[in-house]
Order: sequence, then structure tokens, then C-alpha cells
Amino acid sequence: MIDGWDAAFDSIEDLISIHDNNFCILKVNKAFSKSVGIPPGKLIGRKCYEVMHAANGPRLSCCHKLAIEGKESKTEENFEPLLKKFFQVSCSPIFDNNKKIIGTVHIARDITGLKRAEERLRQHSNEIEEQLKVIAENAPVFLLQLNRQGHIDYINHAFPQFESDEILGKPFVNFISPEFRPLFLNMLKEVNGEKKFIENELQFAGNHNEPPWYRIKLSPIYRKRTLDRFLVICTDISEIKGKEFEIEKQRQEIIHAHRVLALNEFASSLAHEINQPLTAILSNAQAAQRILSQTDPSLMEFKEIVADIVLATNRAAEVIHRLRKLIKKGEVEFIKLDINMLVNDTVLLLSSNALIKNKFLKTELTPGLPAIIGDRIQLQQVLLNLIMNGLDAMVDAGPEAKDLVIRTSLKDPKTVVVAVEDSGHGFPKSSLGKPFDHFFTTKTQGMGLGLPISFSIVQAHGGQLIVKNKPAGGATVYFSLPVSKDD
Amino acid sequence: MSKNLPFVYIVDDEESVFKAVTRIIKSAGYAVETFNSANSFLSLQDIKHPSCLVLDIRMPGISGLALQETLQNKGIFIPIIFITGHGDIPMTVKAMKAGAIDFLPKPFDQKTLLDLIRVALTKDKLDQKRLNEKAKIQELISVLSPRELQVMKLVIKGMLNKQIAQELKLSIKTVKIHRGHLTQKLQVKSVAELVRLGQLANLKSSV
Repeated sequence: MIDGWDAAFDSIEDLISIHDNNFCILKVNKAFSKSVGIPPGKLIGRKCYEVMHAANGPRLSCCHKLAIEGKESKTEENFEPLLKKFFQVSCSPIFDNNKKIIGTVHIARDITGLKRAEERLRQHSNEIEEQLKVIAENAPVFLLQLNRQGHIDYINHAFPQFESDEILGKPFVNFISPEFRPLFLNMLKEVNGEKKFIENELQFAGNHNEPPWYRIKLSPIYRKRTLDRFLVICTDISEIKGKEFEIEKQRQEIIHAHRVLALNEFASSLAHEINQPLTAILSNAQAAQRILSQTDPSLMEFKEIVADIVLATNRAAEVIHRLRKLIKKGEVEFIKLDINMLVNDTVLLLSSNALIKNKFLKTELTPGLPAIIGDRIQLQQVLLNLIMNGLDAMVDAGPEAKDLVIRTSLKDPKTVVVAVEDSGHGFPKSSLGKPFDHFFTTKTQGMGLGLPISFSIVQAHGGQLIVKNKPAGGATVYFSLPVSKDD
Repeated sequence: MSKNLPFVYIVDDEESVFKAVTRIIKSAGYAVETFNSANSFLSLQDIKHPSCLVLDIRMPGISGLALQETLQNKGIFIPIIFITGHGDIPMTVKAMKAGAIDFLPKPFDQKTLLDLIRVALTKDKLDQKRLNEKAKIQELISVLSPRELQVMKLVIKGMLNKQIAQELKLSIKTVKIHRGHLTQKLQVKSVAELVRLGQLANLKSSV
């Protein structure tokens, strides 16, 4: 039996030996003696540290020593300079009948090949890491790694406005302009799913007048199929944005200039509009003077006159206020608007203009329409353009063309439509495709900018503007506007 | 009491304006009646006199200018003072040509308004007097027989009895009898008076 076991041990490539409590070798297998180059007979009785380590005593980390002291199996990995090999060593204690330790079974597995491969791999991965670092550090974009909570773990190079150590470990969202924070938090939420990445343009926080704009691409990084981290790629788009803003500003200036020009056209109707209350005020005031000069002036009547003067003054002030609102040049402000109210306001501004031209403005407004989102002044300008165009077309068509109708309706639950229907001659067939070309005009005194500007305003509001000729003559201009989401 | 006061009618779609104007006119001692459209004025059964009309030239529906024309077509005589606004010059010219008293560009002074009303009322008095006279003459003429009317027209034309007899194929004696009857009916003493009557009654001198 014993011989059979020896044969078995000898066939194992690991170095197997049995040592007693005093580090004396009691038994070795073939692999052991072959490895140290000493026949088994000459090894028995020798101290293991002399044979293996050419030392005078056990090493501190010797697992044979530790196994005896701890009375349990121990393992260690160590390099044997003598054999120039890495070993994984395990020592299991051997007990006598009285459960007293009498030695250990010492098994040393040569792991030199494994160690070398591991080392090569480590070196290789260090090299790759180094290369990636160089690439990252020289990339013209900002690369960040965020942990699952969105805190910054890594950044390739510092943002011009923040020091790297100022931002490491902090939530990335802190460095985004407050108004864009909800957007970014939403990106973090949404990218954690099917989506491979989400891209958005947003502004960073900063003390500058014009904080920088970045295009942010957020991608999730998975580990073992669960979300582990995020990769953020930030590209500085401040310059592009600057140009976009410049173009938008120029567009707004053209729109404004056109609005002022259009206003000149109905200056006379405004004079009429203001003359009305002015007449009432003057006549009332003079009536009051007359009443006061009477022998028995009626205080009651005097009171009524003063109240009427106040009313008329308010009315004149309101005309001026409406005009001011229209001429005002300011930032475009998208707010919730009642389209019917907007139509009514504009019709009030233009009704005198229509009357002077012997035409009438009629409205057919669908009550209770949902609010739309838009800029009041610009949308009013669209209505103004379309109504003035319609009136002019009707003047050209002669006195039979009397009514211009403005309708509002709900096309579908998400879209409101405004139709401006004139009774003029309509667009010539050959030009139905042209009304949106700049400087195209059917009017003798037109600039040809009204429709293109209206078109661009409606488009900027997410709507559409179309022109149709009516079968019975006259043209209808329709424009649609999306309703406010929370309405 | 107001029955004896001169009457001023105001037609204006602007309530604030006609209210104020009403106050001024009333304080000057006139009776005032206001209408907010041409149509409501046209539905008025009986226009009092002496009176005048203060009329906004520009109104929705029937304009002031159109109302002036309608009144003339209906043979209703009332002096009109137009209230005009900015840019109403072409309309104002038309209104003046059609016989308006004057026009008041808004805003206007009370003195100007009251002066014009005085002028208008004076004219209306004269107009009414002339109209009454005309009506009276027409009434007289209406009692003439067709033959007498024929004779009268020829007399006005300046024909002698002999010529009239020839023209109407009557005897001179018969013509003389007709002449006697008609001068009696019309209470005139001379040919000259007869001619004046004929003019006032717009009598055409054709047969």
C-alpha cells in the first residue's frame, strides 16, 4: 500500500514533502528531489530552509512555521531565488493520536509560467492604460467618468473654468448651469436602460456673462450586466452657439424692422384710434366748463363727465400701451398664450385701419381653446402681416370685397389653427408656390417680406403656415401652433 | 318745453363721443336726440324743425356719407355737419359737394361746433320756409284743371293769348277764360308773380 502511495506522489509534478516540527525533512517525492537536484536519500533529515532557501532559519512568512504555530493549513506565494521559480506553497499540519502537531505536508506548486504571463498582461495593460491616458489627455473633448451616483471619478484634463481637484469626487450636475440641471438629471435617469447614449446641448455654470456651452454625450458603462458607471464626453460648442445666437439676433432684428415698417402703414388708423378718445375728452372737458359757468351747475352731471373723461383717457392709454407692446424690441419670450385673446387684441389694433379702407374685420373664434406657447409680439406680428395683406388684397379687388374673416379652431388635441380668409382676388396661380420667397410681392407697394417673416416665425413656434386660394375667389392663409403640453 | 327748442340730431357709433357732444349741445340750450347708427336714424318717423344733423362720416354699416345720399334721395332736407377723422379728406370733399354745412375734424372745439350748429339751424329755418312756400304753391297749383295748368305753363314761357290759342287749338276767348280762372285760383295779380310761382314750384315749362 505504502509503495503504491509513494508511486502516486512521485507521479505528481508539485513538490511534495513532509517536515517535522523542527523543519527537518522526513519525506519527499520525486519532483521535489529532482527540482533541488539532490537524491531523496540525501534530503531526509536536513533542514528544509537550508535546502530550499540556503538560509539558517525559517523565513518570517514560512507557511510551515505558520501552520505549526496556528495549527491549521496555510498557503503562501513566494519566489525562490535559488530555484529562480515562483511557488504557490501550502502546508497542512499532521497530528499524532493525542492531537499534537508533529509536522506538516508541504506542497509547492510551480507557478512561474502563470506569474510570468500575469506580469506580461499587467505590463501590457499598463501600456494600454498609458496610451489611453495620453490619448485622453490630448483629446479635444472632455472625458469624464461618473459613478452610479453621478459623482466625478475621473476627468481627462481640467475644464478651463474649474481645477481638476476642484471637481473630482463631486456630483457632475453641480457644474451645470441651474436651468439645465433637470435636463441632465433626466439624462442620467433615461440612459440607464435601452439607450446606448443620450446627447444634449447645455450650458455650464460659471461666473461669466456668457457661460460656455457644451454638447454632452452620456453613455452608460455596464459591468456584469448591471450599470456600473457613466462615461461623459463634453464638446465645447460655445463658438457655434455664439454664431447661432448671432444669426438668431439678426433674424429678430429683421423681424423687428419689418414690424416697425408695417406699423407705419397703419399709423393713420392709430391716429384715428387715438382721436376718438381725445375727442371725447375735449368735448367732455368743455361741456364741464359750460356746466360750471351756469348759475346752478349740476354736480351729478359734472361727476358723470369726469368719469367719462377718465374712461376715455384710459382708452387712449390702452391704445398706446398696445402699440408699445407691439413696437417693443426685446428678448423673445415664450409664454402660455390664449390665441383668441391675441386675435382680439390684433383685430382691435387694425379695425380702424380696415374701416379706413372700407373693409370689415370679422372673427369666428372657437371658445375654450387650449393655451399655446409662444412669443406674444411675434405671433401678433404674424396676424398683423396676414390681416394687412388680406386688407390690401381686398382694396385691390374693389368695393365688393368687404369682409376679412379670422377663424380659430382646434385641428386635433395638440394643434390650434388660425385662418385668415380674405375676399380679394387670391394669389395668381403661377405664384402659389412663391409667397414665401423673400421680396416676392403681389402688391405695388409691398416689400415682399411679410409672408416669409410670418412663415419663419410660425416655424420657430413649431407650427406650419400654408396659403390656399378659395374656389370662390380670395385667399386663406392658415397657420398652426402646437398647444402647451400641460394644457 | 323742448318742443319749441331747436333740435340737434347726432348720429355717431362712438358712444363716448356722442355722449360728450350731447352734453355741450344740451348746455347750449338745444334739444338733442342721439342715434348710434345710420339705420336707427333712418327709422325715425318724424324729423322736427328747425333742426340739424351732426353726423360721423365714418361708421360701420351705412357710413355718414351714404346716409347723406339716402336722405337726399328720399327728399328729406336737414343741414348736416360732419364729424371727420384723420385721413378722411376725400370723403369730406364728397360730403361738402353734396351740400354739407361744414365738417369738424376730430378733436374739435365746442365753440366751432356750436357756431356751426347755429349756421345749420339758420339754414334749416330758411330751407323750411322755402319748402313750406313751395308746398303751399304746389297745393294751389294742384287745384288747377289740366287745361288751366297747360295755359299757365305757356304763359310762363312768355306766350301771348293768341299764340297759346294756336298752340292748344282753342279760341282766344277760351284761353282768356282759363287765364282768368287760374289767376283767381293762384291769387296772383301779374304775369311776373305767376312766373315766380312757377319757378318756386319747379314747374317745367313744357306742355
